Amino acid sequence: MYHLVLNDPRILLGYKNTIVYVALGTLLSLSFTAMGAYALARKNLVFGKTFMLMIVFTMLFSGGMIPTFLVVKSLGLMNTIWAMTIPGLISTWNLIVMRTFFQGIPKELEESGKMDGLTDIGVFTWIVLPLSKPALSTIGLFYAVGLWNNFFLALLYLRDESMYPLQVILRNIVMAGQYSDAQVVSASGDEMIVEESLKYATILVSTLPILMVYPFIQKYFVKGAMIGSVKG
Amino acid sequence: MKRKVHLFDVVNALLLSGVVVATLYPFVYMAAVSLSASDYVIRNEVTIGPKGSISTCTTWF
Repeated sequence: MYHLVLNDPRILLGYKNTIVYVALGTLLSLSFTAMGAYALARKNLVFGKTFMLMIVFTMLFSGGMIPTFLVVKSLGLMNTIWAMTIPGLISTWNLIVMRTFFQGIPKELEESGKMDGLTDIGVFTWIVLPLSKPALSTIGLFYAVGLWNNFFLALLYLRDESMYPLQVILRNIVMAGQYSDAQVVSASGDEMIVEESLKYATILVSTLPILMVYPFIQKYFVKGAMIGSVKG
Repeated sequence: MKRKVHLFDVVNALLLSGVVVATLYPFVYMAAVSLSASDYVIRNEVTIGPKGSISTCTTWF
């Protein structure tokens, strides 16, 4: 069963594509979310309240599927890696979670950085980011899982079969039963292969890797961020 | 320190184990079906553990 699934060239291709999308997408999403959230967490940001309102607005109302599609198309993102990473680059929810986390970092810590001559970007990279590893890894996990399971963006924006991520290929196999009969028979010899087992094996193969990530990130979920960093 | 077991704890544990079973079972079932021998799958006899001779499974690896 698994021999068949793991030797299918489409699944290998899907794996490769998905891993590229997840790696690139998580990196981009995480850095942009962190930067945006940090700026919005500062009280002295000009028009900060207005920006925040505009961002929260997008949680309630969106342009809809077809206008978004037209925008993506006219930006020339169709059929590129960017179509998988950029339309969902920043999730509003994660941005707000991260902003709330940044607001909990004591102002004194940043002032101490300023005292030692760091610029704003320096404070962000050398003080705020190292302190927010728990938040970063949690949000990063959310993004990674979201990208791994991302099926709809691929369905909308990818035409080329060689760009399909694992989820689209999985759907083709499970819903449409696209394992060609010849392939199954040739690989299995005289033994009968049930389609159901084959589908389930495919599902497991495509789900297990992202499931394995959870135990490694889990320790950050409960960690107190900066116990004892500010005295008095 | 001896802790009293309240009714709440009992009900809570029962409910949560129900949730655990409900979420875990699909995975276990899929794993079992994908590892079982074909005739057991067709006869719908697979529930939580893979059925069928192990040798037919291992030939696939």
